[in-house]
Amino acid sequence: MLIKDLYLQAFGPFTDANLEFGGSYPGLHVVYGPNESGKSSTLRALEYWLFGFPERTGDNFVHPNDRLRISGTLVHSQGSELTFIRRKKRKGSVLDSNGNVLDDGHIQAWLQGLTRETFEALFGLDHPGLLQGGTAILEEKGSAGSTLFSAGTGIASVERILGQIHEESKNIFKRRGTNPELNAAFKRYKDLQKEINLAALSSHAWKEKERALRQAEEELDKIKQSKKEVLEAEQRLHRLQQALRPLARLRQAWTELDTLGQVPMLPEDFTQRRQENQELLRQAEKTLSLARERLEKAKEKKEGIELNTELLNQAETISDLHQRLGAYRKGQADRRGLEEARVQEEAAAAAILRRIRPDLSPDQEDVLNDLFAQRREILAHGRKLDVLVKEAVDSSQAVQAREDELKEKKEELRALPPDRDHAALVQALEEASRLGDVDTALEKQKGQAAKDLEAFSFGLVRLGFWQGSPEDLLKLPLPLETVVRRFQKQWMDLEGKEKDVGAKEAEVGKSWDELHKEKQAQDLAGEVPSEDDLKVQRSRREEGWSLIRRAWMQGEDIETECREYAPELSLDQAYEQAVQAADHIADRLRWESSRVHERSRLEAELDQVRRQWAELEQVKSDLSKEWKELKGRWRQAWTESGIEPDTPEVMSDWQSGINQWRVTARQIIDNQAVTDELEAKRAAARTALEKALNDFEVTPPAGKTLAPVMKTAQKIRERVEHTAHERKTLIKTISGLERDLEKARKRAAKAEKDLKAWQEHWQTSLVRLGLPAGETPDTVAAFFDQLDTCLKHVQQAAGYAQRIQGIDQDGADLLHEVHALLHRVAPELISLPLDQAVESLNGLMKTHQKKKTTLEACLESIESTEREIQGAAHDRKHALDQLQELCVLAGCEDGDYLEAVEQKWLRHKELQAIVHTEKTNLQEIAPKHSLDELMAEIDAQDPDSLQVLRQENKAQLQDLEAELEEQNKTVGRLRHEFAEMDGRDLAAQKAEEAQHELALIRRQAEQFTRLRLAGKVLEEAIERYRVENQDPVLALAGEYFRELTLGSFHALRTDVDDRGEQIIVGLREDASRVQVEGMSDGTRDQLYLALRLASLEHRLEKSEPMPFIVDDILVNFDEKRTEAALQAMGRLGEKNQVLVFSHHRQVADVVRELELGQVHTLE
Amino acid sequence: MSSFTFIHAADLHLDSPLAGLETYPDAPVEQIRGATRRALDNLVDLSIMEQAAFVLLAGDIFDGPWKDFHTALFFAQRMGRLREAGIRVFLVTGNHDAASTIGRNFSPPENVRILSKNRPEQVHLPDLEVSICGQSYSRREIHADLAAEFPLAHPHTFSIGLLHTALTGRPGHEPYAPTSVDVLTSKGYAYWALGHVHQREIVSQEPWIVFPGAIQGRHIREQGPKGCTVVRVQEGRVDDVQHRDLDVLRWHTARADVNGCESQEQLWTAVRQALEVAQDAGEGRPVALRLEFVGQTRMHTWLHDQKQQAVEECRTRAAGLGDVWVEKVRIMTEPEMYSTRDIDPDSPVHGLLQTIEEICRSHSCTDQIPELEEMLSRLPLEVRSGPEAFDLSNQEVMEQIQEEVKDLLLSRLLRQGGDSC
Repeated sequence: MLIKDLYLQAFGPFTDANLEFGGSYPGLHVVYGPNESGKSSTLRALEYWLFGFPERTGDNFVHPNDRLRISGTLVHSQGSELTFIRRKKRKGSVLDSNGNVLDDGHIQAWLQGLTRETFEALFGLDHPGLLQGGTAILEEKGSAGSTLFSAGTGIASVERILGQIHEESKNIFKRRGTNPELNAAFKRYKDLQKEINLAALSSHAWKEKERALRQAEEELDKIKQSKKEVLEAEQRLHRLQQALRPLARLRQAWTELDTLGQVPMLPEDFTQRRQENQELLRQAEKTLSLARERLEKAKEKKEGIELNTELLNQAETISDLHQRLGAYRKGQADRRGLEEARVQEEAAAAAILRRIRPDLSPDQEDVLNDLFAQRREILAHGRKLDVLVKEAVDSSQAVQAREDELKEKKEELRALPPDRDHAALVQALEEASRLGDVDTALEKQKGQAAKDLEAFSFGLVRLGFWQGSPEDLLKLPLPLETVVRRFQKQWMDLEGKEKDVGAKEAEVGKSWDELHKEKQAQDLAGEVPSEDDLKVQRSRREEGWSLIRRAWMQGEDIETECREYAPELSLDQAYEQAVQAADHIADRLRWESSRVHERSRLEAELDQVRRQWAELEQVKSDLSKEWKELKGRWRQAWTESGIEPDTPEVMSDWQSGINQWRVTARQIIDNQAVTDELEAKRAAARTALEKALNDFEVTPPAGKTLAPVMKTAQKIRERVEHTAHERKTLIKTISGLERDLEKARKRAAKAEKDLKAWQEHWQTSLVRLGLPAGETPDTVAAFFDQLDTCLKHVQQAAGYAQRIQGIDQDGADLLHEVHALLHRVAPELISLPLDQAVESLNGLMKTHQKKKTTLEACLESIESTEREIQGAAHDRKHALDQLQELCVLAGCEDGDYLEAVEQKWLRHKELQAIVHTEKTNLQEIAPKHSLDELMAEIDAQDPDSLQVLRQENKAQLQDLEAELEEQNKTVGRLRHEFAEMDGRDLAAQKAEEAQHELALIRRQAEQFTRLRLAGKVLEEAIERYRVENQDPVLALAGEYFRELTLGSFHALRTDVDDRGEQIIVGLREDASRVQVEGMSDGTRDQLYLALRLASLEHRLEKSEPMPFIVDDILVNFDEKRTEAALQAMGRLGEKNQVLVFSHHRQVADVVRELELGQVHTLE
Repeated sequence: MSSFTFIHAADLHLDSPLAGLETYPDAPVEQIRGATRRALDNLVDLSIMEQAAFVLLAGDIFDGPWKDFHTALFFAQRMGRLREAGIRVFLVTGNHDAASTIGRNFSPPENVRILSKNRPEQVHLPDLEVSICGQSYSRREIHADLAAEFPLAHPHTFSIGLLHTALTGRPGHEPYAPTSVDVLTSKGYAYWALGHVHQREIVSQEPWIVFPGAIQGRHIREQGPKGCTVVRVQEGRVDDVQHRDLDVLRWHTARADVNGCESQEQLWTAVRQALEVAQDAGEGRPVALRLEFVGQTRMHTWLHDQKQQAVEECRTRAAGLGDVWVEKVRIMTEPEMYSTRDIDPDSPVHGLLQTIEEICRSHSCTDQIPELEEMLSRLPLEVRSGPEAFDLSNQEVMEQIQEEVKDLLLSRLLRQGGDSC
């Protein structure tokens, strides 16, 4: 298969780009495209054409996705062709040349069912691929198997793949590993099995455990019973021991009670009553004695006290006067301070007045107040001054400002240029605007025209045979199509004849070859005897015989003839030989009659062929003449057009092509007319504008285009209209300003008048205040402030005088009241000064008050003591009565015996209590036994043996306790163990985990198996490939390698390395061997290339060729090696199409110069 | 005649572990722990809720090889719950129970009656006017028709037959205690409560012959809902027969149709759809999923080359979705552009393929690969035996492996020049 052409209808930067890879044999084709020319796009286009567009492509920047189209033609080595178009679609992306959808599988069949990747690997090679190939050779140490396999399949890194497979498998399992996943899983699985066994409970174990628990519980019950019995015995002994002491006490009490005999029954409170009454009696007698003594003393004291009643009655008044004395003293002290203050205030007021109105004194308070009363009115008038002055200044400034502005505007108006008439300009502009964007339109039309013309020229160039302008094409005299068709038919007839002759010639040639071969075969099998040979031998025999007869019968000397007849033999020998030879030929003629016959047939047939050959030569000569004549006429038909025609078939196609171009030519000419008309309109508009501009003394911009002139005109128009507008505005502004000025002047005059009126009023006010003319409102305000202060001082002084008068009045009142009192209660004190008299009176009053208090206390004491004596007498009588009553109860006559009777009664009671207590104790110790039973039991037991028996019991109990504890533990343990057998799922859980491990093991085992098998299979595949291909491929590769290394290496051989593996080595001219490790990087790349080329060539022996597509692999090759590589690829190209994509000019040049193939340059 | 409800279950296989699930991060391990036990819990809960008159268990309570007596104790505990609710249990043992040491040593609580293994034993429940007849397995393999010896039904009594049988044979089940529908019908019983077949099946409605199936699927060959059968009897006639799901984990196979997928993204979309289907199949339970990639796709090569990555991705996505546990991922895709037989014999790849196929065929595989032999010899018996055994001497397994080896090699060899995705 080869690619006949590739048509980039719409793809990447291309539109209708065509690559023709035609030629006599598959050939080497260099697609040369400098950087940015679309070399890579072309390569991609080839890929997408064959295998479809990818989901996303960057090649849609000119043509949108749905317009992308690539088409081309594939040619099979058997001659069939397939033309198809590829578009970007998910389904139905392939169309045939008629635009019908074509099954993708159809293309696939042509591509041998290979995927894009596989195809690229097998039949593509780029620079990285080459380097990778070279590197892989080094990595594989030139291993013959993998190197050949890599080169043959295009899979550069087969060793690496193999290595990866092995590595992955080792990560899963190693024979002696613990870490790989599978090894670890095996271990975990085993561990889990052990854990399951540990956690699992066997049926037997469960039954055993149940039985053991039951037994242990029974045993425990027995021990508990024994312990209970011992405990009971111990309790009895303990009881007896406890009862011994209470019983002894009981019996003793009973004995003492008997001894006491009869005892009177006394009330419970007897003792208390006796003691209380005896005590009461003793206390009453003691109190009586003491109280009587105290009464005597109080009566004596009462008699010694004397009182001044009048003084005591006036106590309140005296106390009041004493208090007022304090106030009187303070008033006297204050009065001095107040007097001083009053004098100071008066002096201050006088001083102020001296400054502001020396004509006035502080006494004239009314005059001062009158003056002060005018303050508000006069100050208010003074404050108006500031406003009036400000208004006068402002109004005068406003007048000035208006005057300045008016002057300025008038100046501007004078400076404006005069108005101009621009009606003509406006009209010209409007007319030009009506043409629209004529420049661009013209530009576009001209551009399109140029493109059309270029396409036209290019189309003609592609079509070939004739070139010229569209006008020339329309005029071109061409032969009629019918004429061409007639020629075509004649041409075909002649071709048919020629073909027949050719076929016949081939047939005759073939017959000749076959006959000739047959003859040669016969010759090789030995000479075939002929009748002629027999004749010759027989005449020789006859000649010999005649000589013998002449010598023998006639005795002639025949020596000379003999020597002539047989120079080296004697005559008889020679004759014998001749006879034998003749007989031999005769025999052979008989024996080999079929061969002889065959030979004659051959000769006859050969003659026949020779004759046919001669006839054919004649026919050929006639044909040649006919051709010459037809071609002459054919050329004649085209003479007028000046075209050197190709075959009629070609020219017929050409003519249909040229007819289409004629239509295009007509369109080009028509378009030119439209353009010209537009051009004229534009020129007219421009002239009108230029004229209008001249009126304004403006030079229009040079050139043909309209837009710049329009722009200049527009500017002028805008300028004129702007000036007119400015003038109008200024006039309006000036009239407004004049009105404003008038108003401002009026305002200034009014302000002046107001100011004057104020000043007159102010002078009047100053006179009223008694101030000199010329005082300002500020100084007048200060005058009022001073006046205010002066008035305050005057008022203060008046206040002080009033308070001094009050103090003097209070002193006189007090003296009068004191003297009146002294006349009544203590005339002896009248002579004393006021404050001393009051103090003495007060002291006298306090002395009499104390005496009165003492007298009252005496009286109270006498009364209470008399009451006490009365109470004590009553108590004494009551106690004596009570004691008498108790004597009656105790049965004694005198109170002195009361205590003895009481003691006896108390002891009796005590003993009865003991009896009761001990009985209760014994009841508690032995609640189930009566007192008598208990007494009998104790009496029956030897008290001394009790302790011994108890000791024994205790020992026994200790043993039982230990036994019980032990058994309890056993039962507890068994119960716990039994409780553990609770139906738990620990073992089941472990079993689940084990299942998880099994699943992992299963998956990893499968993966490991796959990997190991894959590794093995791949190794064998490589080895098999090596065995099958090594010799032929290495032989071919050797030649390529010699060529690529410029003879540095002579051939390639296999060898065995240290590991005993087959490796590839290079052979030098001197037969020395170089391993791949000893080669340079470049040489290894060349080795890889040589092996690739050789593998492709070797393939051709059995398989359909496929184009070999190479992308810039020569970048690192020097000039000579590039040449060599291209020659090598050229050589392969004779049998297998080679497409070399390159952006190196050198590659294209070499191929052109050495005529290695075709160069296709991308523009 | 009386009205009541009873429950029919079989094939509990208590504590038999779920097989084929590999743990991985985020796998719902906890949710499915002790699945058979929890399924039994569900059975007990359902019986109590339905106020069942009695429960019938048709054999294989325990799993043959399982030896942990805790399982029996657990079963006894759960039967104890039924006793507290006043529910009687009648059971016959099956082949697994006969083979199980637990089954042989188990003594049931008083509300559980194990029918005789020596002859058909009949129990009368006068309160319900019911008679139950059944026979347990005396040994693992019973090839006699036990049902044939069952007595004829009592007149005026609702008669039930209880038996562990494969009937006339069911695929994947040993043909124990074989019998036929005709034999069963001839006995005149109202309901035949059968066990042994793990797939639900109503064999006949006149009389009722029912396999309730297992209560919990334990591996990928036991897919779909599992549970028991609730039977309502009205006036001495079967009124309603309903299957009820008891399983706590469901096994399911889902196909990710990746036909025409061109990118990983598209693959995962298909996977997500398959996962959602699987999740729905779980009806709220965790699902153990076997995920099969099918269809023609450009991603075929990638899937084979990067199978581990694909598996991880499926697992992660399953975990993201919730309680879906990916049991296994099977790549069953075909390449989009070619299949090996479409490749032109002229092409060198064809040669390579042929070589690979020939070599694969010519090997008894483990020959000359000592590591492989060693690995296989160390595989646990559970992996090497059973219905899905990894046994390379099995032609089918070997062919499968060979096919995968071929895909693996081709994907690696032809990948060069960059990842195809």
